[in-house]
Amino acid sequence: MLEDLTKFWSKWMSGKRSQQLMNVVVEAMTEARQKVRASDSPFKSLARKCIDKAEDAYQEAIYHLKDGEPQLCFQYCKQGLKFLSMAMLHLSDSNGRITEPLLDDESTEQTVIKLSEAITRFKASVEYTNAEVSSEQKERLAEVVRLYFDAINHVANGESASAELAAHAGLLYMYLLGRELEDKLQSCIVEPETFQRWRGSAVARIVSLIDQYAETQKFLAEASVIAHGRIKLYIDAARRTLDQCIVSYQDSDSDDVSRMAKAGSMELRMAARLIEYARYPNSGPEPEDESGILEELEDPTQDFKRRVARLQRLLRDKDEEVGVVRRLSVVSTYVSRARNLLASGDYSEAERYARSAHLDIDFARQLLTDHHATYSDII
Amino acid sequence: MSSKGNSKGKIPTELKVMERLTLVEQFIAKLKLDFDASGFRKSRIVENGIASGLAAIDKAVELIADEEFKDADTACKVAWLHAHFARGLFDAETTEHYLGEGVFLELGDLPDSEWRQFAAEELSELQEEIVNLRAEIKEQSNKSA
Repeated sequence: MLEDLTKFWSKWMSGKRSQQLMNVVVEAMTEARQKVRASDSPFKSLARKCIDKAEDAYQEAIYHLKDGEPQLCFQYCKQGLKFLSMAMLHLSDSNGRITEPLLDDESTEQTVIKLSEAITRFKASVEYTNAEVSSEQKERLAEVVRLYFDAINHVANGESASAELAAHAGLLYMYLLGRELEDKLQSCIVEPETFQRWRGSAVARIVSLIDQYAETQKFLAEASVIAHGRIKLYIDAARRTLDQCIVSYQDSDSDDVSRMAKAGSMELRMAARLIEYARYPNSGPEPEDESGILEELEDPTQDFKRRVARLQRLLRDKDEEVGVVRRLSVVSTYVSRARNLLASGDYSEAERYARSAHLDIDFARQLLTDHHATYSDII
Repeated sequence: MSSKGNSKGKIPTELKVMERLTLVEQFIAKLKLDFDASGFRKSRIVENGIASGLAAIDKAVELIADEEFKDADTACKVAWLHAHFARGLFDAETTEHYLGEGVFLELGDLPDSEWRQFAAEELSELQEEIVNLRAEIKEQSNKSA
């Protein structure tokens, strides 16, 4: 009996509170409508949209009150008031000025914004200066844009660490692009200070390698030497190493970054020595490679791997192509094994791996072009 | 990698989220107005950025109504990230349109047919490399036999 009375009392109180709140909503709506009529804010339409939402919430509140659900009525009244507060914020005196929302300087989102700024600055500089951008650089830029959207998705899913990794990788690529084109663009794309707070970290090591790479390219240009032969091999290898560093950074593999950064630095030092020698051929003996290093630099598997990885990145964004990406994941490994086995003279095993790679890439190609695939009998 | 500095762990106040939301919504409204009024080519990335920003705003409004302020704040930030990027690109293209020769730097927003063609060609070339590798293996094998 006492319980019934308590419930009845609670419901009656709730209904009374709801009715009082409904009166407040009606008053606030009337006031908001009047303000919209009197306002010359350019955001009147946004305010009106909020008031419409408040009205919908108010209607819901009425239904729930009629249905004897005062608590739900109360909830909808509160919603209505929230929409009206937003309407008032739209009408507040800003003279039509657009204010950017402030984010904490150290926040993940602000790091992502830095990447947005770097990309747009790069685009604006290229448009303004008509600087020529190579197809490889365009491809890299497209990759950075993908990283930007990856970072946003991570933010949306609350994965701040992954968002930062993607944003950092994007910033490193933009720093590289900026340094490559700095003479043409007449502006700095990513300030080196951006990376200052990562002093001593994997990021700092990659920044240092990018600087060394840019300096070597500059040295090459100043020396009026054409990059061919061994010079080209070393510079191309350093470029691949740089890419690999950034990929390893994204995989949070700092040991690999460290190892690759050292290798890249050695490749660039060697390139610099060869450029110096090309300028002054009589200054001494031609710099020698470490044994076996040239074969390693010329390794065609590296280029194959890079192209497959690039395709995978491109297709990963297209949900319907997940099967193609999966199929490609083993192709590079098979090709690499086949080449190693060929080099060691194990031809039957080499053929077995090469055939597996052939079957898988053919399957992936059919899947992409025909949307269905079968393993070919004639391969 | 630390996850310092973001909104993780902090619950923003209702007013703060609503302020952020209205600012982003106004920013997008202005961008949309400028974009719709522009007489030159319409970048797909900018168009998608506006649409994604507006979708995130709608989500944030629903979350505010449900008093999920932390998630609403995240949705506002997502909207801001889309809008900021779209604005930057739009401004760069406007500069090129008025001061340049209308040759726009593409950012990889290839239409569906183009990326598919690129991927198909690339796959064919890679397949060709494997065919060559198999021929090389066969040749070496025959020589050694």
